Amino acid sequence: MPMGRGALPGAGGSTTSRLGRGLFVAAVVLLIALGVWWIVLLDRALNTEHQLLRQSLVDAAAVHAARLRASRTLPPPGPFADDARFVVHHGAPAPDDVGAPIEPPLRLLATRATTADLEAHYARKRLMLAGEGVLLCSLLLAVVAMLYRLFRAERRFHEEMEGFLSRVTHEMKTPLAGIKAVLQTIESGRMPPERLVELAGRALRSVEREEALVQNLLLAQRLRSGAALAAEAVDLAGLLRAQVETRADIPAAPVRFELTIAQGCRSACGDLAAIRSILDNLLDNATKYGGGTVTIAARCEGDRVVVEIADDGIGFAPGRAESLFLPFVREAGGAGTRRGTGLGLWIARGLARGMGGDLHAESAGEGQGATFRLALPLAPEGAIA
Amino acid sequence: MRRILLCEDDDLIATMVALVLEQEGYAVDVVGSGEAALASAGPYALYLLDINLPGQTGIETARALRARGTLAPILMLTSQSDVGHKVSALDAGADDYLAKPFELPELLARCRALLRRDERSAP
Repeated sequence: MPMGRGALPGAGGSTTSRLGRGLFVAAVVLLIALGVWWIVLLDRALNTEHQLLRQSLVDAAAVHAARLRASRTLPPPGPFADDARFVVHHGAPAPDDVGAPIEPPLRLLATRATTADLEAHYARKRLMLAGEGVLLCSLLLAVVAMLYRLFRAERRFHEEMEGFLSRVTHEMKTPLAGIKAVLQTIESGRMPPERLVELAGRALRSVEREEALVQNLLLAQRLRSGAALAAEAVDLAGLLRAQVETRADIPAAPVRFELTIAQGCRSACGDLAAIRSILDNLLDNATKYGGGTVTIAARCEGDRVVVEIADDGIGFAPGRAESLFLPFVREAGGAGTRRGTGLGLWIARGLARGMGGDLHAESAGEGQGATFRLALPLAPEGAIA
Repeated sequence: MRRILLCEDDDLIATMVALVLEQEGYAVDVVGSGEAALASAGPYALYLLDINLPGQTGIETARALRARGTLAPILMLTSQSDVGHKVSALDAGADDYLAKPFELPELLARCRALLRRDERSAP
């Protein structure tokens, strides 16, 4: 759509989006603030502990010095016999010495080994703190990244749902408008009698279009809830012929279908309603995006029956094949708009896989057509009466 | 007889709108895309444009019509009834907006009103 959501200021879910963005930013700021606060707090506690340990050495030296002064027995310079942590020093202390004066020039100082142990302990604690800080920052970053991903996923889901609901509403309103116009014309007595049957038939096809849409929505719900699908022999050839004939009956059909079914590959094992829905979605897709001719070929590959639906339409870039099967994704079809809810291919693949089969798409590139390959378990020949 | 161009890609809606307009005495040309609408030989007294069209949208078509000097009134028909779409359509040059599924008498009344307004404003 040329006019995107949010074209009108304040419209749609922009208030919710702003609130969500604000909460996300607040959570990130709070987390970072908590992390910084925690690191600063630990660093201060570590420094305090370091100072206390140094002070405890000074206090111990002061107690020893006071006891020596009281006993009037001055020890000789060298190792202090009463406490191996200290040494009796003669002369001025170095700036980083820890200790207390006994009686000038004698001082009781912590040995180099004692201060080295103290500093080593402090260094180990700091290293531990740095490691914890890095770990905490990493955890915070991981939490922030996770929050960001959740926030982005929530916002994308919200936008997709908005777009999806808008498309579903449009898809339902358009056939309704046609049906209503037919009925109003009949009711008002303005319907030309010679056109009644033709227009009633077209209104009926619009009703069928509504039915198919509702069926798709119900199937989407079944897929989401994980409901099991039946596994019975289904006349695949008959379904394919019926699908092609229904489309050939539409006046001014934009696409011509060519169907070939290999011998012995007429039936599949699965759920009749699910297979019908898959074919419906694939052929609708070919009608929307295909060119003039769509070839449908059913053949056997081992224990599977493979249905290839190839068109010569707008195609897609080869790297985009898988994204076609994501819910709510639609081919833009160049600059224009296309009908559809964006659920068809997602439902079709989900149903195929639910029956033990699969669905893939390939294209040589934009403008070069596309091929959808549906594989289903092959039912034994003769399983269909 | 006044000519109206109806640009609508849904075949049934196009048929029914054309039918009732012709019963009202208008000559109606029906096209299925914005490109076809721009290529149609006018002049038309009124344009009825669907917004969701394959290829060029109705809004782009309305903008293109105004850009080439078309003064005839434009009535947009669409199933998108949100304010954003209405504002975009009116800003692109549309004179009125009718959401699907619409009542045919209302559509006819709006067409008459737009044509009357156009007559009054004609020099």
